[in-house]
Amino acid sequence: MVERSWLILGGIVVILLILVGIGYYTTRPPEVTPTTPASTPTVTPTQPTQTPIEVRTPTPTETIAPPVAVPDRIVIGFTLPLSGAFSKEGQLALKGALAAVKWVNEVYGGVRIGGKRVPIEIKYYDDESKRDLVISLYERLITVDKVHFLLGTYTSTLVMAAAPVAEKYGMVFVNWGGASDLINKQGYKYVVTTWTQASRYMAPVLDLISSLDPTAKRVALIWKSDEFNRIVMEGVRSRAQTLGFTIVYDKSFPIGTLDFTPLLVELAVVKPDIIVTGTHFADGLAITKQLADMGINAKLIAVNVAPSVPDYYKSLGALAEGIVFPSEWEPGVWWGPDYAKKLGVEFFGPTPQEFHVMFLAMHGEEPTEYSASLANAIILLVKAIEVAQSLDQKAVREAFSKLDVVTFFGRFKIDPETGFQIGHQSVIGQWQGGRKVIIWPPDIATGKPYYPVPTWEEKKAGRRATP
Amino acid sequence: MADITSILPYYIISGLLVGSIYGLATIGLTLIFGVLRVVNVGHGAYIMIGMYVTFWLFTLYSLNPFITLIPAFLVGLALGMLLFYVALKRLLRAPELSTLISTFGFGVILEELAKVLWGADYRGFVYSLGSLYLQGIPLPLVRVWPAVIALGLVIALYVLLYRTRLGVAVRAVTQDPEGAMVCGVDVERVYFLTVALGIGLTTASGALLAIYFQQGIYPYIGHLYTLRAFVIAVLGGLGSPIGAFIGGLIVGVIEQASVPLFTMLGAPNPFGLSVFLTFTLILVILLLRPQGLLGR
Repeated sequence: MVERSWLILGGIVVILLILVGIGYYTTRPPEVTPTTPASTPTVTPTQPTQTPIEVRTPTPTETIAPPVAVPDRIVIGFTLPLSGAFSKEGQLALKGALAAVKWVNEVYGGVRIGGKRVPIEIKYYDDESKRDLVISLYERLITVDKVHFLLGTYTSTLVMAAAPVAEKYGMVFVNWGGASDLINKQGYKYVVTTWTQASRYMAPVLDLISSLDPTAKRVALIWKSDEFNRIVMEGVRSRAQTLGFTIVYDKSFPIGTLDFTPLLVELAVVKPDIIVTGTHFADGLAITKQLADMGINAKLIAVNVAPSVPDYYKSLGALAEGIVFPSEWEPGVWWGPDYAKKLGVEFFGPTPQEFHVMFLAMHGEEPTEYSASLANAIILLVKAIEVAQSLDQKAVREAFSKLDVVTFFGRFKIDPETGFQIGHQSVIGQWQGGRKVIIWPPDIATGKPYYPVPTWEEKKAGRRATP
Repeated sequence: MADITSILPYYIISGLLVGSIYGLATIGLTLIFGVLRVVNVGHGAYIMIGMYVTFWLFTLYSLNPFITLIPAFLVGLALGMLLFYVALKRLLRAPELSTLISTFGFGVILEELAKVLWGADYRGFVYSLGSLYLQGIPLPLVRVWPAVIALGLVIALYVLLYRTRLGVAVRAVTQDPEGAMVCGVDVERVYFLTVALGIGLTTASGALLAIYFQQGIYPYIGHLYTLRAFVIAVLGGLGSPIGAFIGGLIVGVIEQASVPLFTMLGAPNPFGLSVFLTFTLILVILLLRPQGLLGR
């Protein structure tokens, strides 16, 4: 017995020492919901004291309600993957939501409706990156919490689970985090998408190459066979055809692939000019590392999703140099009032610089596309409510259809029927000397593209992709 | 793409390399099942812990990743002891569902602990040893050495099981716990050592996987390996450590080499089909040998 006690004790001590030792030195990112200024409305633990008026008609045919009595606050509900496979993106997005609420309530002064200024409040749950949980939580948000409006969650798979629930209750559903084109092809009447959808997301990479090097024509595509990347690649393929590229390699890998060797060996034989990969964060990291391990070089390598997250560079260091990526938005993309003026449309919300400064002050880090996209969704919802001057779901949905506006995130304009985003455009970035530089489209670029990118050997020897 | 067939040997070797680590990552699962009849549903979490040990010791203290194998193994041993005394020991005669839930719970606790301590970020490091060239294609040495070490560990385990008194005791308990007890074997001690060793080998395999892939380490990465480990364990025969290793090699080779074969056949999605082939093969093997390749 004595021996056993010692073993248990020893075991516990060893584990604790190692975990604590490691944990102590770790500069881990702040956990979910870092400290926010006391004045910032955060989650409402209880039901809103005042239930919403008229809204939430299960039958979308009901006529628009007349201007309404205004509640003392407008509650916006959503779920986020704060744990599980998409927790990184979910946590980044939440920071954006907090920044948007702060802007609306403190800087803008609340939603201007019915001659009053009404503050907004967010109510969110952790959906743990699980589809089944998404469904029940959205039901809860609608039936128990009785929120006034809904925003989506992050990533197409989860959004596809949430959208039908919103539709069932006839609730406006602002989709800021699901990029699959399919979301708006289901015939939903209340789903409004605010960012560039998959088919148009990565295709500009080819426009970039066309402008840089007319001789680089042999393109290889490697992509994850999930909904999002499949459609991203359809977009890239069709753009390649238009621009006269030859697709010399085009293969997918299953979800959960850890080892890309089977495809990379073939790629080493094919020797393409351009490599375009369709990935999310984890596989994007892994595929970059394995391209480097196998010494597969190309004039330009574009990786989906992963490189736009700063951790990509933290993980790969110099190997990330020169890697090109699409993004919905990046700090430094100053789509401000000037851009709106050029398009001849209204500008609404904080300017990109204001958003950037406010976000930095609140969270001590730069915003990412996920933070910005969720913040943008909230700001657009405020605008739509103001245009509708009503909390009626149908009226707000119609206001979204009419809206053509520029926010810090870029242009917003949807196809009125489907809610498909047609105004916003993605940007192309590149890692140069440890910094993300916007290189496309030219009118908002913050730097010149570095082309052709250094080889893996050169990068390992310390060469950087700075022009 | 005619020359794909000529590089088939590359695929097979690459499959054997990754397969040997898959095999090692499965041995802990199958060993614990064989001796205790407990399915460790939280298996992947221990692989994750092994990966983090390597990651942190390398990034914080620049310790050679191969040396981190030792602390990874020790942490696994300690976790195994904890798992046994806190949960499994009390549940040895309990219904199977209880052990399933408790091992699952242990896995969840470890994952959430990892998340609280280190955040949900994907981590990675870059460590290179140069490459061998096989048919003109580089084969990184950071993939060769982990496989060699995995093989070494499996041989060591074999020696332990088949050439030592402890091994005899373990095998005796596997075959008939009551009979072993009658013959003077301290069954509970054997259980305890098996769990510690099984988890230790699992975390060690996590360290090797970290060296092999180096990227995308995060608290839930174990899930990717749990399913694979179950498949391999069933293929090799649940309860047979050597069967698990051979199962790992088979799955590794199928994963890699079926891709060029399907490509030659003109299949539209060869990589996806390789997963299909793995499961088809398992179905066939289970039809012919329901106990798995080396199961009894």
